[in-house]
Amino acid sequence: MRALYTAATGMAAQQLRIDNIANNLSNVNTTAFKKSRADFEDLYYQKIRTGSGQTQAGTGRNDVVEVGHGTRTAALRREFRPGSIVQDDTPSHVAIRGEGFFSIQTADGEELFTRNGAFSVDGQGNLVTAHGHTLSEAITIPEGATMNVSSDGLVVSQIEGEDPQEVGTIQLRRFINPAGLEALGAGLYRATELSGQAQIGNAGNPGFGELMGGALESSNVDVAEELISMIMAQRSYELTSKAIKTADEMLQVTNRLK
Amino acid sequence: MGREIYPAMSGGIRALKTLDSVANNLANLNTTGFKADRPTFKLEAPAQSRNLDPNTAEGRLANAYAVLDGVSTDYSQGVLRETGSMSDLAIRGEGFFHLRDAAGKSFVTRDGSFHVNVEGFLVTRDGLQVQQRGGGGGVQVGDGEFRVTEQGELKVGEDTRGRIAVVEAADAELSKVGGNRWVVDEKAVLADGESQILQRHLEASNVQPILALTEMIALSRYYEAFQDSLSTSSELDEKLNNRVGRVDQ
Repeated sequence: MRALYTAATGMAAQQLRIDNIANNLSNVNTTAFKKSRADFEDLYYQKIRTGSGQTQAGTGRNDVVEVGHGTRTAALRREFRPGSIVQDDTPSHVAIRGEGFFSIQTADGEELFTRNGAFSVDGQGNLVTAHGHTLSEAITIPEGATMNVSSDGLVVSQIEGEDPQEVGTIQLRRFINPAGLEALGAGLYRATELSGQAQIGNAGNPGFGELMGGALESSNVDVAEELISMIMAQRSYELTSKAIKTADEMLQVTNRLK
Repeated sequence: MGREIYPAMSGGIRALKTLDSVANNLANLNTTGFKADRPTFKLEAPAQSRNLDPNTAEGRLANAYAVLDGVSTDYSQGVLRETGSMSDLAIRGEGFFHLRDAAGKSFVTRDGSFHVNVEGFLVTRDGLQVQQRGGGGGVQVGDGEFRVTEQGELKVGEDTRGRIAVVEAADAELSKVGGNRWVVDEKAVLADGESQILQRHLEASNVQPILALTEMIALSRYYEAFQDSLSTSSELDEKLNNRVGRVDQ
């Protein structure tokens, strides 16, 4: 009874789809969160020959029957469409309007990428992420100074009563295939063979977004869309379970044969 | 038991095999670009083995078996839905995207959830290259924003980087291999079609739940009827064994 297992693959796929929707929805308020989409594909087909491959007249005919084995999850594909920009007037917060990533350094010196620009200034005056990672550009704000980020990434600090001072430029990184980045959680991504090497560029250059100080990017989750997907997934789950029920009923009949 | 149980049995097997296919369709309700399958059966009446004239009614019905004949795929259009993702493409109308693997083997698909690989080519999840019209090889998109017109022209700015093929293929030249693809017969020549390509859209599966449900109800009942006919046949045998030849007093 192949139908039992085939239908079970369909139910497993819907479960995974719901898991993914739950993750998207729970991150609806996560800064710069990028939603994922579950992509499915059909499983392999078993080829069954139904004849000799010849018609009665002796000409060839295609008599190979392909019987499918269900579905599998091909990918959870992250969608890097930008979220909307929300101004919060915190000077150390920076949002990317358009494509690109910030490059940050972990404590072990590894380069990671993020779109979450909720930076703050630590005790030494360094611009750091919420997890304490420094920006690769190593920007230090003098004590007691205010900071301002221009659209091309130039960071200017000013101590009251003194002249403004340029303290560095935040540059952006981009990837030929951002969907290939490895997500590490906490809004961090690692470059992989699939994503390609990071290309560096100034904000506002072709292919790179602009920066906006005093603002953050919200998640790109569309709640209505997720809810519709959830309804679809639930109904598909029910429907596929009916195939299992039918298979079971037919097995019962088989058992009554003798 | 008489021979009549074997045709009935072939009908029972038919119901089981059809259910396998219905289950596969349902499992692929959310598979991008999936096309529903339906097994077809033919009546096979080996009347010759009993020296009956196959042109008479008796000859036609004697030992007529339902035999699996093939699978017919429903290539009708699935619903197109907007995804907003730049490298998602969908075909409106007939035809397929043409893919080639590293060895040059041809495949076709209706699943246009592509991406740009590190070399700048438009590829599927499994790395198969999307082909240009007229055997122009892969589509080099390069790095950055691109636009696909309804005619399939891939434009980066004002620059045209090639025209994505929509090929036509006959059912007999295609066989499903999983991964939302069909492998194309080596002898087949794929002609370019004229269907439109929609960017930022994907085609949903064309499985119709109502058909699948109705079919499952019918299969269940059919299978019960098959069981009934076996029981009847068995009762007849029993009577034959116990009653014929006995002289009732």
